[in-house]
Amino acid sequence: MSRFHGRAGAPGITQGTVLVYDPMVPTSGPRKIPHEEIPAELERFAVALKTTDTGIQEARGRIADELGEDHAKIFDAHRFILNDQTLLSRTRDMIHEGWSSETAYTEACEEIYRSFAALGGGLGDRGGDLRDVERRVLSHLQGRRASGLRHLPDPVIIVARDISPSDTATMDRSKVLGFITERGGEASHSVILGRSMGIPVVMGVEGLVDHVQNGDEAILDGHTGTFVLHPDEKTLVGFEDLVKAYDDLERDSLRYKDFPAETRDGRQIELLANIESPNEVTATRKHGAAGIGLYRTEYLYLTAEEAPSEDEQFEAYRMVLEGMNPDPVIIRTMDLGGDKVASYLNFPREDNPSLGWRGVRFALGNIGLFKTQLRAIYRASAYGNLRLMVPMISQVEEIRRVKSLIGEVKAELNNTGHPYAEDSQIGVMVETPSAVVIAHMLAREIDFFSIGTNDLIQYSLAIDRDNSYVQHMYDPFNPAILRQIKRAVKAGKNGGCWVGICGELPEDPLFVLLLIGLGLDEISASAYRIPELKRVIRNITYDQAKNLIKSAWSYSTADEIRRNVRRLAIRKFPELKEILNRYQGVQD
Amino acid sequence: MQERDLKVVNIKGLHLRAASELVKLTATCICKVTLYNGVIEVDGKSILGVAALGAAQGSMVTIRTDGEDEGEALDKIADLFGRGFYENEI
Repeated sequence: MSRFHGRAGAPGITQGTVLVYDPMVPTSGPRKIPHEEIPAELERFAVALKTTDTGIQEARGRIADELGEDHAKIFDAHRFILNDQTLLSRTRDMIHEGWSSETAYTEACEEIYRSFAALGGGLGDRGGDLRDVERRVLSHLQGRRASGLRHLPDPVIIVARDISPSDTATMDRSKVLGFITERGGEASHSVILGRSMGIPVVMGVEGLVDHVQNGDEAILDGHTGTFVLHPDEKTLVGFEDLVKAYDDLERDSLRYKDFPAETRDGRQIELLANIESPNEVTATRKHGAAGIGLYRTEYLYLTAEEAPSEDEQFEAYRMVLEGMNPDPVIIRTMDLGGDKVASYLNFPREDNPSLGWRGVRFALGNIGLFKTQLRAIYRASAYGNLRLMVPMISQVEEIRRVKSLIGEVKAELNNTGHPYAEDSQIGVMVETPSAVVIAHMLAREIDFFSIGTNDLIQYSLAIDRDNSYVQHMYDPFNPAILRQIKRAVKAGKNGGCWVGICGELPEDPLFVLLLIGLGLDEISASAYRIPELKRVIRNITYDQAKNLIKSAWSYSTADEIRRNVRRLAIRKFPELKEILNRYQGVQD
Repeated sequence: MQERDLKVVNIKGLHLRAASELVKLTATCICKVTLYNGVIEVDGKSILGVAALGAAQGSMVTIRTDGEDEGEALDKIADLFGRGFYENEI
């Protein structure tokens, strides 16, 4: 038996067998494959070609819509290159000789570059187009290899160096008991996913992958960040007691789920749930959410082999809107880019993806794709209470451009006779420091703000949340962050907007007390947390929460705030002592 | 088998987009199509092959068709060369 300690990512405790997920990093050098794998390798290559072909055809359609038939013709050439028999038979020959698809295809392309180079200049850049096609094929080859979580035979605890959104997009969620990763911080994707699925996540256990093997028995405790490999009898018995203790606590909170989220002095907080797919609607109802505060639509794109059509998207949005009606549903438009990339979308390689082509920037660079989504959303708006939210806004021009596209989409829907809700609200996520600074200007353009804590912290404190050297500095209690939120709330309210917060709310309920004191109107969190949040809200008054945040302004470090304000909170709200204390020891 | 020498008249030569137009046509032919520029011979149904000819404006290319529809195919190819692969229409 051996114990490993990491940081608690998402609560819960589970026992089961381990699956080590360690997708190969694309090799830069040549790679050989065993003889018996040749037929499978040929098949893998064929699939990658087919996916690439679909991707090119889609790109062609998009470009034809956006820029005209003229510009789209180059994609015909790309398809001819892709299906070029010289290139393909050379590749297949090399696979038959026992080379991997990547090695074979790279080499076959290389031979063609050499024949082009021999021609000399004067005829334009032939190599560039081949390079483009080659990149597409290789990315599909790698993408396919990385989707090893699609078919899981039995329920497993996944052990990985890191988990990316693309990994989990195609994962068979019904078979995942928990995650434990070597990397990853408080707001990394595995944590977000774990919380939304209600399964334990532990992170930051360096070197773990080398210590475990597929099929090993283990216990994973997401409350304390512990991982026990090959547990003995005694530990297993203790495990059962622990599970019971956690269940009791959860049951206690569950009693609050059907009460309104209202403070003792009558301030209503809109308490909504984050979701990634329409299937989660029932679960949010079960936990007592008063609507959806963040529907992450990018998962529609990440889980597909090709961009979802307008009708497919319409169906998904309609299901959510109709299922929640008359409660509000905040649909966030595609937040792609950064670490959320789909291979068919052909993202460029970026040195700094977090500062790159993501969120609304990507959407406005792919007008065809974006308008398809907007059309689907507005068509679905006829079925419920839509609020549209745009991510990653950093300047006023962006929201104006989005609004004008919405105008175009509505005009198109008028022409085609599709009904839509005229008066749906439009809002932006406040998650960049610039959005906070110009919040009063943004407020004039829209109906609401939703503060995206993860990115606001990452950008304001200049911390890469997946970098284990700096992630300990990632702290929502940082005095700079609390002041950013205060500023955004004030600017929003002065400009007639209501202000909410969404994303992965820190586990510590003390943070929620501060948010309420700051005057937030709405809070969106993972559904499973809603009962406990109601319990917290129903045991306080707004005035008391305002006093708490007032006391926080006098401290200059996150630790001072946490320690002193917690002490004050416990004195004021003895009913919450147990919940507030639970989070005292966890942080190290 | 039929053979004809054709001149590349369009400004950009047999660049990728022109090659793409040619391959689009030869793909519909049953017969075998080969292109020869006096140095190398390439498959007329392979875009990368055609591009590798490096045929610039003014150069001559020998087209050889061999098979069922060789005559019809050659006429269509000659027409395409004559139109400059629609370069001016694009």
